[in-house]
Amino acid sequence: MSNKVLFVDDEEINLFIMQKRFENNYDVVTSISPLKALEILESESEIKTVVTDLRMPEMDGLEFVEKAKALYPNTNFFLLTGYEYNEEIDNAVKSGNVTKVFGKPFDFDEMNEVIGKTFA
Amino acid sequence: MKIKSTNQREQGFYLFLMISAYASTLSFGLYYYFIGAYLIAYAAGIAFILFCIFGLISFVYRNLVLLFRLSIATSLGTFFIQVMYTGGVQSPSMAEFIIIPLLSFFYKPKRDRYVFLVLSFLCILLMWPLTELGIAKNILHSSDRGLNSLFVQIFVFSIVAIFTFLFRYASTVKNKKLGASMKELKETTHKLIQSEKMASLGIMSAGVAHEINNPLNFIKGGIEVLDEELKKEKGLKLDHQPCIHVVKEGVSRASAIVSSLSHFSRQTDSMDEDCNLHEIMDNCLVMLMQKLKYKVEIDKKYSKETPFIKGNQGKLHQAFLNIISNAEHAIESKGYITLFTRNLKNGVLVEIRDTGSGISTADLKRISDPFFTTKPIGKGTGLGLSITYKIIEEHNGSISVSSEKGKGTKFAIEFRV
Repeated sequence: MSNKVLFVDDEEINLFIMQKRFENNYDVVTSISPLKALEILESESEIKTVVTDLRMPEMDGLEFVEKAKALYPNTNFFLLTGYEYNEEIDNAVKSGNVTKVFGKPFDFDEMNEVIGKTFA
Repeated sequence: MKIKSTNQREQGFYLFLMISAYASTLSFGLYYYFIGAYLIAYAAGIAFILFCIFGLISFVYRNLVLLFRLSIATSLGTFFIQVMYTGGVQSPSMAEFIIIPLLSFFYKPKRDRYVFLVLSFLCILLMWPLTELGIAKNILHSSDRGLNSLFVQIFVFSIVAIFTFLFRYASTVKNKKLGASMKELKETTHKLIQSEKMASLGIMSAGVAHEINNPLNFIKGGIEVLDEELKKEKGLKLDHQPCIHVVKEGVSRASAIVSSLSHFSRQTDSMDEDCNLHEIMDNCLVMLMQKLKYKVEIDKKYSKETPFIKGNQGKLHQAFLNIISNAEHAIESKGYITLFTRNLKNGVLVEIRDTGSGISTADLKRISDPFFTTKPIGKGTGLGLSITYKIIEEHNGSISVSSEKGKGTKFAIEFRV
C-alpha cells in the first residue's frame, strides 16, 4: 500500500519544510496551488491523506476540501491554519470533511502520529 | 389648572418679581395716599392685594407661566393708571412702560414677550389722545410733582438695573452649562475613538498573529529538520544542541504569545466550547508577561481538578485579561496577584486578588458602569469592566468585588454549571 501524503500550501517554504520533515516517513507530494492539487488527486488516486493550508489565493482550504471530499470521500483531509478559528472550520470538522485541524507552528510528533493513523 | 414644573431659574425670578411688586405697590400706594392722590393710591392698593393673591396661588399651584402673565398684566394696569393721573404723556411715569417688555423677557413663552412689547407701546400711544381729550390729567399738587418725578425715576432706574444684572447672570449660568456639555461631548467623542481603536486592535492582532505564525512555522520546521540531520552526523566539533534548544525555546515563546493574541480576537459567537479556566488565565499571564515581569509576583492557587465551563473561550479570555490587567494597574511598584480556583458543588469559583491600591467605596459602586474610569483621559476607556461583567453574566456567572483602599482588591467570580 502506498504511503503518499499530499501537502497543499501557497508558501513554498512551508512545502519545503513539509517535504524535509516528512520525507523519511512518507512519500511526500506537494502542491503550491489548490487547483493543481485537485489535478494531482485525479491523476494519483492512491493518495488518501491530504494536508492543506487555509489561506490561499485561488480558493481557501475549506473550499478545496469541500470540492475534493465530494470527489474522494475516502480521503482524509487535514487543515493547517495560522490562527483562524471560526464556525466554518468548526462545521467542516463536525461534518467530517476535515478530520483534524492543526495550528501553525505545527507540532511534528502530533501531526506525524495523526497522519500515521490514516495508514493503519 | 394644570400643574407644570418649571425650572429653578424661573421660580427664582418669579420670587424676585413678586418681592419688587410688593415693595413698589406698597411704597407708591402709601406715598400717593399721603400726598392725597387717592385714585392712584387705591389702584396701587388693589394691585398689592392682587399680587398677594397671586403669591398665595403660587404656593398651591406651580403654574408659573399663568402667574407671570397675571402679575405683569397687573403691573401694566397699575402703571397705566399712574401715568393717566400724573400728567398723561407728560408724566414721568411714562418710562415705566419700558419695564413691562423687560420683565416679560424672563420667562418661557416667547410669544408673550411680543404681546407685552406691543401692549406697552400701545399704552404709550394711547396716552396721547387720552391727554388731548382731557381724560388723562395730573391730579398731583404742583408742589409734589418734583418729588414724584424723582421717586418714579429712581424706581425705573432700580428695576432696569436689577433686572439687567439678573439677565446677565442668567445668561452666564447658561453659558457655563453649555461649556459643561461641550466638555462632556469632547470626552464622549474621545471614548468612542478609544473603543473604535480597541476594535481595530483586535482585528489587527488577528492579522499579525496569522502573519507571524507562518514564519514561525518555517523556523520551527527548519530547526527540527536541522536537528535531526545533525544528530546523524558523527564527530561534529560543534555542540549544536544548546543552539538548537534556544531557537526552539524562542519559537515556543513567540508562538505562545501569538496564540494568546489569537485567543483574544477569536471571531466566534458559539457558546458551547469547553473552556479550561486555568488555561485561559495562563494565556492571559503570557500576554501580560511584559508588564508583570519585574513588578508582580503571581501566586497560582489552582484547584487540583481542572475547572471547565461551557462558553466562549475568546470572550472569557477577554474578561479575565481585563481583571488581571486591572490588578496589575492597581499595583504601583511591587505586589502580588493571587489566582485562586476551586470546584464547587454546582459551579466553579475563581478569585483574583491583588495587593494594589484598592478601590474607594464610592467608586466600587460604579466600576461596572460603561465609561466609568478613574484613569486620566486617554489612558482608559472605562469599558473594560463593563464588558467583563457582561461576559461573565453571559456565562452564568456573577462577580462580587471587595476592596480596601491601600490594601488591595478581590474579584470573586462564581460560575454556575
